[in-house]
Amino acid sequence: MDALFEFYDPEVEWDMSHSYVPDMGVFHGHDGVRAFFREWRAFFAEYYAEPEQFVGVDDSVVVRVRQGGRGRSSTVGVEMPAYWQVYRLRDGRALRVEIYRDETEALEAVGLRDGPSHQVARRDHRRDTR
Amino acid sequence: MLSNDAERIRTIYGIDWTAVDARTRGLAAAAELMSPDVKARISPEVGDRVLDGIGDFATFVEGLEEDFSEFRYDVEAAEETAPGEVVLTGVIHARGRHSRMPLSAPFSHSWSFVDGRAVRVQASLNRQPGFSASRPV
Repeated sequence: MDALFEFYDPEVEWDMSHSYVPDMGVFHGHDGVRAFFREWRAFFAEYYAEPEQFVGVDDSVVVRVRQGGRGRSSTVGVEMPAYWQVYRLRDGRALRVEIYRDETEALEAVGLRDGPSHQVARRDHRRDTR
Repeated sequence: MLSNDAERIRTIYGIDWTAVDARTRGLAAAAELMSPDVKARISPEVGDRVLDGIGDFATFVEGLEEDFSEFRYDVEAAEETAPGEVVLTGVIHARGRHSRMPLSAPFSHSWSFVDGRAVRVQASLNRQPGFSASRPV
């Protein structure tokens, strides 16, 4: 976890307002993001988050992610629908992370107006994760 | 055409097990359907956990409320594979209690009946490749 936070700028913003739970809003700074992670992970006895695809555009990277795990009390295994993270980078660190439930919206957020059909710097990692 | 056993099983699917009224009705239907000493292995990804008897089953479904604000096993297909053997497949639709995230997972439940009562329920992971292939972190 420390390595992850070395990647996040101290002033990082984690924006959930385009996610499946938009009313979670925006979390600020390392403390805010850590608190969000703690709450998020509280459900899981086991947890995974796997990047499946990367699209790089200038100082931004769009990552398709799948995550899931087992409920802490129920032990039932469940998975979230795929979602997209948009990383806004500065000096090699993440200044802002935006979570999108919709691929087209995520790609449009980095200036790819034609959405999923755009062919730039796309690396598919799905094969590596199975 | 499905047998009476298969039709009766459906009465405990499609229920939101986190809703008190629905759970009460579901547990009453389960008590009619299952043998008191039914053996149910419904979370195969955690290895050997077996619900032993209708009491353990009730404890399991009551515990769902701690993790989820909604939790349903929605059946997509039912097949009688042999006399007294019924396989139901479908999708779990749920919502995390704290995160409020929509969650899902495919399921496959194989039911075995003796004298009109379910004596064994066995889940398998064969419709869950994404989860079973993933590493916890």
